Amino acid sequence: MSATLPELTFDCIVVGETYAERDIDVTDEMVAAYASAVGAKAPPAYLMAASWSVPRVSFLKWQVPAGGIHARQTWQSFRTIPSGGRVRLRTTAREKFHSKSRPYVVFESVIEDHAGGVLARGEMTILWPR
Amino acid sequence: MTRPPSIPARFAEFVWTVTQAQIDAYAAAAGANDPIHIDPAGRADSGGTIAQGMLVLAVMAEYVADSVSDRSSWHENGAIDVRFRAPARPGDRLSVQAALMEEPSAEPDEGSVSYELWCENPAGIRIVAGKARIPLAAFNT
Repeated sequence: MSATLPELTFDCIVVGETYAERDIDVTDEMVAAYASAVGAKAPPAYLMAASWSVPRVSFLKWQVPAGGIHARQTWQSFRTIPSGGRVRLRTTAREKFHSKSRPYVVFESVIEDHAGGVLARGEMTILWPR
Repeated sequence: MTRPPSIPARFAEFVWTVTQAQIDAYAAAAGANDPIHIDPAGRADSGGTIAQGMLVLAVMAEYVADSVSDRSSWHENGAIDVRFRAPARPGDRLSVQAALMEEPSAEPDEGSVSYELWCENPAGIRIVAGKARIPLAAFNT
């Protein structure tokens, strides 16, 4: 399937465009597996929802090239992500720039509950693969 | 204002040894299964696999959660801002540390304090570094 998806190159990324928008059903098993993987003493782990925002994980309509380098991450949590509920992830390109001739993209991700309340948000800066 | 004793100048160091098993577990849990993380053969030219940046940061965030009195306050109003400077590899023995940046009275947002937060390798190089803004409520002040 992925071979038929368009490749998301640096040049084709449009600032302001949303690249991931999907609902995620948060299960006890998901919360436990993530917490165990990161060594959390008590689930849920703080950054679980941030893991959903990674482009190669969440951009389901694009083929995101391998080799990107995670350069910077911000994350702010407003409420605990509920297990057993449905949340919505939305990831939007906020900035593109070059630094020392290298291409960077900043994506903002927002996690909302079923009522539209913001649970968490953050920005991921990626040195985009050529 | 004097810093309340419940707000420490530093958190106790956490020493973390990165393992391929943990990288694999994170790949399965988070879907972060690029070959660069899970296929040593695919990265033979550069020293093997590297840990997911989000895994390293998640371990750092749990270190904060374990260092405060009330982890739910961290979940409900905590913030992180870090830069990734170098990769972590299986076998690396990393030190996660945090130090108070300012006295609480100097904070623009008086409901929180900021800690410098970093993860360094045995050579003392900070491979991930930035800050965490922690609600005062997390210290039960």
